[in-house]
Amino acid sequence: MKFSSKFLLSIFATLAFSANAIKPALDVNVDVETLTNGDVNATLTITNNHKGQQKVLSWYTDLAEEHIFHITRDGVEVQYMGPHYKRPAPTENDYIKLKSGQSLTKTFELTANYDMSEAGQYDITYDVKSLHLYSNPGQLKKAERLNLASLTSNTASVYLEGLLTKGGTNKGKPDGGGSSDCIDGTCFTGRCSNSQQTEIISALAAADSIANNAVSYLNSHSASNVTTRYTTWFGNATSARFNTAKANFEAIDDAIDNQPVTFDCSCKKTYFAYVYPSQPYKVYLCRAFWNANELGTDSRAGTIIHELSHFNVVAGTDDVVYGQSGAKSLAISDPDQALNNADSHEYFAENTPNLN
Amino acid sequence: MDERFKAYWFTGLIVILSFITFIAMSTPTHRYLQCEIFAEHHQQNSHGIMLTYKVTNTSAQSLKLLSWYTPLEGFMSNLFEITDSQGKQLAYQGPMFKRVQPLEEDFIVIEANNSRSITLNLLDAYSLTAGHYQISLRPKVMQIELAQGSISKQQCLLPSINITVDA
Repeated sequence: MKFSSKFLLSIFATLAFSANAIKPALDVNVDVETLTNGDVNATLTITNNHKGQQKVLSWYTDLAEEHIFHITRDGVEVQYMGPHYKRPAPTENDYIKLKSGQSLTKTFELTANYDMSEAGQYDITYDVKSLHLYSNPGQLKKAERLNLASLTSNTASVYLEGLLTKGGTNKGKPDGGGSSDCIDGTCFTGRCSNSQQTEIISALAAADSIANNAVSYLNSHSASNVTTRYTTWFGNATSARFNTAKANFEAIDDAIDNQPVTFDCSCKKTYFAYVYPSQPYKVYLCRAFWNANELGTDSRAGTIIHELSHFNVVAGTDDVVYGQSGAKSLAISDPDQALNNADSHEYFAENTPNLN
Repeated sequence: MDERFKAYWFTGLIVILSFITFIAMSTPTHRYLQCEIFAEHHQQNSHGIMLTYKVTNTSAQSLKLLSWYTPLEGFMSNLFEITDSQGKQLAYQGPMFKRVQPLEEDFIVIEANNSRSITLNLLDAYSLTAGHYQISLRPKVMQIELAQGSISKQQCLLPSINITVDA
């Protein structure tokens, strides 16, 4: 109890839009812009129109910190997918000071934090009233009566056409486990922005194309007539090994075409990607994936092949060795382990440089 | 059955059972590193199932071992092959990462005749319950950087070890 009253007091003492202000001391404006890649940028401007200095809680000004926008699609609230933090009472350092006439401007990409993949009219308002600043309803009511917890803006509107797949090859695929953020059977978690979703769909189509190419190679060859493309990555062919390669690529291709693959965009680490082999078909994409080309060595398409090959229900591959030179040596020294190595599958599918 | 054979067999069994720790050592088919895995034979599930991996630089020079795919980096790939008494392989529950080029911090320096070891809780990555298990190290390729900057590759092929897990 002591803590809560102290908490409330500190809000009273320092919150910008204080009880005795007749008109709002802080003026909030939101502008929305749609980018050609499908992302939506919102520019927030908070201006101090008051005579004296005003303070605003810094996490009220950052979408990476709080649910600061209220967004509806055709009148229905769009769910916020960003973080929710449980915070201690704010201290002096948590406030941004604005001098009289000074303003603060920040731009945020919205589609990574709100599901804006469907077509419709989106209305965007900056609104921090709904922040869970107060732990019990009594405190919240009191704060509302004193107009303490509300800071709102104009409503900016934008019409979005929704994300569409280019090929539409995955129609009829089952969705991955109840999530509504899916396009033709490919699902997204971990706050994939609209542009990321579009890039993933494109990379998946590229992965499908190189997987099909790998399958057709294996269908038109046999253990007795493999070429350098096979021997470079999988070494000496026996019919058992050749059949393993064939079964692995058929399973990878099936995963792309028919299984509910989910991509997660929350990883900010330097890796290309990771999976839990026992948890199909969820692929976590990291920084190096976004920096990679769509096709070629260690590409986005190849990374998808690599990751799908790990799933126990697909090919159950491991990481035995990394990189092209490692995979080439492994093919010579241990062909069985090459067929257990995800990178070897990736490089066979990428086929860069092109081998016959 | 021949009585004398029976006696030998029984003595042999006693000797085996009296070992608290089972140690498997690699036959050195290479010049630089020797790997070992060992674990207490009887372990309790509630205390975690601990396995120690040790890698020794058997050469006369200091070298750098890439930690990737070795137990030294923890469960970043499927490190062990674990089979239960029915011969069924346990699924690896941990993650696998596709990484970019290794950085300096990914290498571990091992001085001549020194070793590095790590003890891992197998329950972090495999669902072991009460029963008998056979465990072996999966034959990953270890990348070794020698003093002159040349690179050597080596796989550790170790015999498996057996453990019994009590509930």
